[in-house]
Amino acid sequence: MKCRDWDKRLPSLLDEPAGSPERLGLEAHLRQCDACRGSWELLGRLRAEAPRLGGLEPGERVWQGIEAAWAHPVPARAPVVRWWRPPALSVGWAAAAVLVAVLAAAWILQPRRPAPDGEPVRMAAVTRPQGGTTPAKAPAHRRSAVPARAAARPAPATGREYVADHLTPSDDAPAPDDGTRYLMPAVAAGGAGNDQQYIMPAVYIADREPF
Amino acid sequence: MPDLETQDAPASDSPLVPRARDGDRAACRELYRRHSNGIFTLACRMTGDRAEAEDLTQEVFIHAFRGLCGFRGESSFSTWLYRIAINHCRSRLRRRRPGELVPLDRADVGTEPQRAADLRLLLERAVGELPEGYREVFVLHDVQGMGHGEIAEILGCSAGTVRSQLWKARGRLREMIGPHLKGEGYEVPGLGQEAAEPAG
Repeated sequence: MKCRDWDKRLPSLLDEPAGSPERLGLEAHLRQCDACRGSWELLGRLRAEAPRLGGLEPGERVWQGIEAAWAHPVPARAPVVRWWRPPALSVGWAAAAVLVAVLAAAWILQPRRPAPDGEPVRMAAVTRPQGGTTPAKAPAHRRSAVPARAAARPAPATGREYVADHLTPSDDAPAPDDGTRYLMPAVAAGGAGNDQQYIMPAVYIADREPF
Repeated sequence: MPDLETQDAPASDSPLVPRARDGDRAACRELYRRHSNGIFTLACRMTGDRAEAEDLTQEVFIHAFRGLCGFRGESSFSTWLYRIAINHCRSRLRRRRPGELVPLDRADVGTEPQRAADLRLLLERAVGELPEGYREVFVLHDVQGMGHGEIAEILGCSAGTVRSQLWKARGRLREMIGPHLKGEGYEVPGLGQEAAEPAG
């Protein structure tokens, strides 16, 4: 151990008993090092001198002051009436506060549907040609390109009641062949003039009544 | 070097406390007699001013006797009393403006011959310049002779913290006083000395 290490430890070693290993190690070092020995002796002198700083006696006037205070007791304080008192924090209040916080966090952090990419979706009615390709035959990778928001869009007001059977027609629920009207996004239906080409409709609405 | 922690234990305050709580002035007087020197010494070393320390001592005892109903006996009466004293000292020191500390060598505390009192005066002045936390621990341990556990209870911290503060306080005192005693062979090892000094 270097002098600097011993120097840091000297104040704590004052409290070690004389025969302890730490003190024996220190004594071995002090036999070789004058600087540490001087520092150790100074600490010992300060430690020995410190109790002499105690034992001070207060003047008699201190006790007289205490007795005088006894003769004139402090009047009891009137209870302070506050116009507003904070509600006591009970377990029930704490539990209610936690519940409200959890519900608020769940509402704020609930997942939102993404906004549709590109232009706003416009719905267009396309008459399905007789014997043509049904929407169920449209390639699957194109189905997925339909904006989800379009599926939730209400049917155009045409004076008829439309019933949504399937959002995406499938082979399990084939579309009827006659008089069925499909609504699809005009944007998605790129070949609007080509009635042979079917693009995946966003909403497949079957008109129960034939055209 | 005297071993302060093996001094005779003082008589218990337990029988006196209920009597003092009931208004027995003789019991109060006895409690005052037993603890007034310690409280006054603490106040004196903390404030550095004898008159202020007397005021503090008076306040502490008045506060304690009036508040005896609130003393539940979870600690000793002495610990409880010193806790009140420390709080009063801290409060008083907080109210002081910076630089208002009155060094003891200018107060009317010691009038001993200069030669014999040299180290004591240096120590008094150095203790007055210690940071407040170091001073509290040093006065309670090295001056008053209390144990680490009791001091920890008074100050509301761990015994390890008390030891650490005490060692730092001693180290700081040595640094402050050492240069004044260089002629007497007391030197604090410097950082540059270690290369030339033997390793232990």
